[in-house]
Amino acid sequence: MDALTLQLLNGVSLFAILAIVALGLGIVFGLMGVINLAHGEFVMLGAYVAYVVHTIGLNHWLSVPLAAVVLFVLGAVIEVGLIRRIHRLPELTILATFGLSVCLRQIAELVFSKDFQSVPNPVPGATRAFGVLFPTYRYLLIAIASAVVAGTLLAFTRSRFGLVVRAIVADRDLAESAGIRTGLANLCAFGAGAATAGIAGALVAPLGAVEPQAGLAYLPGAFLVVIVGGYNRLWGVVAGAVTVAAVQTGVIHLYDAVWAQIASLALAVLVLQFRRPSPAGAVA
Amino acid sequence: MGTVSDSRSRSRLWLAASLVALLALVAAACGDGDDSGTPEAPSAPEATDTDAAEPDDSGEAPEPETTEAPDEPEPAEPETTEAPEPATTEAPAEPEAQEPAAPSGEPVRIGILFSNSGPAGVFGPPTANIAELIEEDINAAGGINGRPVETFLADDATDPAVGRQAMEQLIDSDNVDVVLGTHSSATRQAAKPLAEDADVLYIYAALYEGGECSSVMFNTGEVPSQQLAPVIPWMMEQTGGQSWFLLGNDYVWPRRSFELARQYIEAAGGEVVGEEYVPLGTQDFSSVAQIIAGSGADLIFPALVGGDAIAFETQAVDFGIGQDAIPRLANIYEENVLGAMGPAVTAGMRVTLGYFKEVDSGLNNEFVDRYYERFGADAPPHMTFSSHIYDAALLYAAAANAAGTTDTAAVAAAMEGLSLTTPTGDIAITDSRHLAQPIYVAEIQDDGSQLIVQSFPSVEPDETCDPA
Repeated sequence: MDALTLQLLNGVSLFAILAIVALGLGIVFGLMGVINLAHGEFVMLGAYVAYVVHTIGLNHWLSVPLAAVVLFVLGAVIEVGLIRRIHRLPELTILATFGLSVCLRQIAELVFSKDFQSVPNPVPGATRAFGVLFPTYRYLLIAIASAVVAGTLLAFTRSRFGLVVRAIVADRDLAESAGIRTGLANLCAFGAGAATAGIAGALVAPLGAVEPQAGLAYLPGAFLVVIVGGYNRLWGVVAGAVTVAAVQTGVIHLYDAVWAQIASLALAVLVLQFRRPSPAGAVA
Repeated sequence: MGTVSDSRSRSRLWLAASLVALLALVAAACGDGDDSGTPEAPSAPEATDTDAAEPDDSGEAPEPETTEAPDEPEPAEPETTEAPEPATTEAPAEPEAQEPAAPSGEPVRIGILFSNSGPAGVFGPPTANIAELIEEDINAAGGINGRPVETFLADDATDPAVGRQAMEQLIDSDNVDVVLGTHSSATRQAAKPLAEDADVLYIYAALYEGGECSSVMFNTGEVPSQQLAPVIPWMMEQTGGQSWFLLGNDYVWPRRSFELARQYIEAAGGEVVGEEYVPLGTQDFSSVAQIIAGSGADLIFPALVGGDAIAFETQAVDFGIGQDAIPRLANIYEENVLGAMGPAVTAGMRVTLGYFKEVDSGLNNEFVDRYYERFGADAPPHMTFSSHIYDAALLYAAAANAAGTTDTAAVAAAMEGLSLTTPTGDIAITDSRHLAQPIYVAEIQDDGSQLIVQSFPSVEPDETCDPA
């Protein structure tokens, strides 16, 4: 029973990490059609924000909103300087964002060196709940990540901004002729995607290494979630993260971590085989 | 663009994205062929992605790609510092007697193939520093056959394809006489055929899984049998632990290490209660931590590299399976990784390697002092990879001096049976073209420093090689 509870908690914490890391990719890809291969680097930069906050002696939790702001600004700059010029040719975005990812890694290396850095856990230790001990930080991570994901979903489904974005997704040309400023909406969407990646980076920083290459490890997982969940509905990120977390946690306990990875890849292949194109405009 | 064509172009786009993502995933999942028996895969962290082609240099590296040795080699005597004899050579023959003359003439060209960018790039800067000391020390000792030496650095970017190009550059453009390598096994496999075709001696000096055998190669890094055979029984005696959990990244080096570890553990009367592998680039260890906690293991042998090691150890503490609960014996945790984990996580861990800068010998203390004087107190730490490159250069110099030539076959013949005393300790080339060398166990102290608590002199590798 306790073992099952722990497995469940492991699954939920993995879900939270996957969902928050993939959320930005879902926004940028689903809404803008931009395949952002630099998404992992946004996560990495978010982790460096947490590292800087730690080195100047501030509270770790401050790094979460700070990373969002820093990455939103960076995302907006990149949108204006790069994405805006090519987003109507989505295939080009693959190349452009790949180059961007290399640049961001090298810049991080120049600024912070290629040494491994770390951010200490602000709440070390475990909390007893549901009859089991589970790391306190992971409870907080689950709570914050879920809140951010839920808030983002609401913003994209219930707000006027969400309506505008959905109109653009449904038909960009028509939306433009109806007087919607698609440029501004794209800027905000790309910035928001980068901001959630920044939050993800700050949240996962105390769980592992902060280093220029760290983003490479996050990108495949994020793509996996978006593939499994479906690309043009934001709820897909949640559905994808739930599915991938369940499959990975389950298979690790039944077999091992290598089979868990193979199983999630197989899942992605299966989903692609059977997916029917979703109707355009179904954002949420 | 209407909805229909829009959705079609979108699904095309979707397919492209999926392909890219799946490729990245497959690269991450498979890393390299993880056939447990075959020595095909890397001994160093393998990229989850191969961006890599950028020939970068971090702000860290104090020396750019190619160490520009002066055309007119620095004569040995006016060197103001002590410029000590780099090693007491016990080579079979020693053409240069006590008084080394200043080397002159066309330099002997020593290529160094190393990882200065990509996931293993963190190991590059100390090797780049050591390249300078190699030139300085060998020239101070009279050079090779009276000629000065010059080093040429080439970065493999932790990518076998780039490594092959780097090897090509060393052989074809830099015309090197020998290549010293510290990089992944994947790069070695890609670069080796070039050295064989060009008949250039290739000394692979990185710690690896063993099994390499070629007529142009010597392998002087630690192999698992050396790191483990003496240390596993010692660890069980020290801690009283009997049951082991083996946790490694999924590629050939951890698998080979665990295969041997299992034999040594069982021979010492212990048992393996769990063996798990995780893909390279794993970030979440919650499930693995639960499995370890449930296994009842007394000891953990983690063969994890880079960020994976840091993620596992920092998360393990919160799951109640930190070093204080279950002691670790690690075979790759080095200063960069340990430093990032922090002493709160690492204090008490034991690490088995062929070199630590804390090795307490006159020769090593002098060498390490000189390293930090030369490159600054905050220089990238000199460690087993850079130390083995230094030793490989000294071995080559001794063999080429003994042979009286830089001809590959003659030097290779002189390498066999060669023994030296270096800052690492007493080392000797074995019949299997590997290196009998000391193995040290360091224990991490409360302040994060490493203290050598045990050393095993002249540990023989369990390797065979007969390149006909």
